[in-house]
Amino acid sequence: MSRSIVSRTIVSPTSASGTSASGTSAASGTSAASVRMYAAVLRCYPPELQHRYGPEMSDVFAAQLADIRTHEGLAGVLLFWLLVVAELLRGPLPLRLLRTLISIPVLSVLSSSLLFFIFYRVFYYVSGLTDACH
Amino acid sequence: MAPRKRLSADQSKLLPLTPAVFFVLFALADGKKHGYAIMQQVAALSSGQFRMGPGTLYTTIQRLVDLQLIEEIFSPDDVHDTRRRYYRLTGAGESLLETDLARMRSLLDTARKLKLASPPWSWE
Repeated sequence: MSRSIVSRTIVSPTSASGTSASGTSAASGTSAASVRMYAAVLRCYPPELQHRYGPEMSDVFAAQLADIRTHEGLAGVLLFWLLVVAELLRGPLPLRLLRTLISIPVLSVLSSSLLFFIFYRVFYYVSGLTDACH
Repeated sequence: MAPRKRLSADQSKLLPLTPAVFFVLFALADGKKHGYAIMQQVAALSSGQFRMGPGTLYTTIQRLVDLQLIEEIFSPDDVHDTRRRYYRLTGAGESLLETDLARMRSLLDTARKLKLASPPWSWE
């Protein structure tokens, strides 16, 4: 199991990011926009995962994006974004939507009950005062 | 090869391994790696046929760390960042990978007996 199977050079995230720095300013602008977009995508993941691995996920995304742009060009970048969106649709986004869809009726029922209880107490108090006056 | 460490019920539930779990464990079989290196190793091991983004990678890593199949270590010899997290297989992780590889080997043997796959010595 200790035998190295792959002879391909492993590029570290730092060096891969360094490759992007040598590209054109338009390309690095696109990369910066992609990284910013990915930061927004990250918010769809569960908070625990974001807290534990969020910065690492951003670093890996930036490194992978730079690597793909260098070797596969714009088409590769688009395919990579498709992969990222597919990952999102397969896991965290439906769960988040489901949680929201469940939480909306639950919250509305709870708030309606609370309002009903408050009105009931106020009405009870006011009617008690009116009876005492009579 | 016999599994080295007995697997817990939660760990055994992962069998048969999903491609993401299998390739992450497989990528770590020859030593510790950081996240991006795991991703590159996975692409190389699968000849580019299995690609995953950071979402799948870290969801899988989180699951495997929680199940104690891999562990996080900080590498002091990393010149880029001493705080960068590396991951390596635990004994249970090696056992799980070996168990799944044995399952695949057995399937392949069956396929060969049924002449659905070439024998290992065939060049075809």
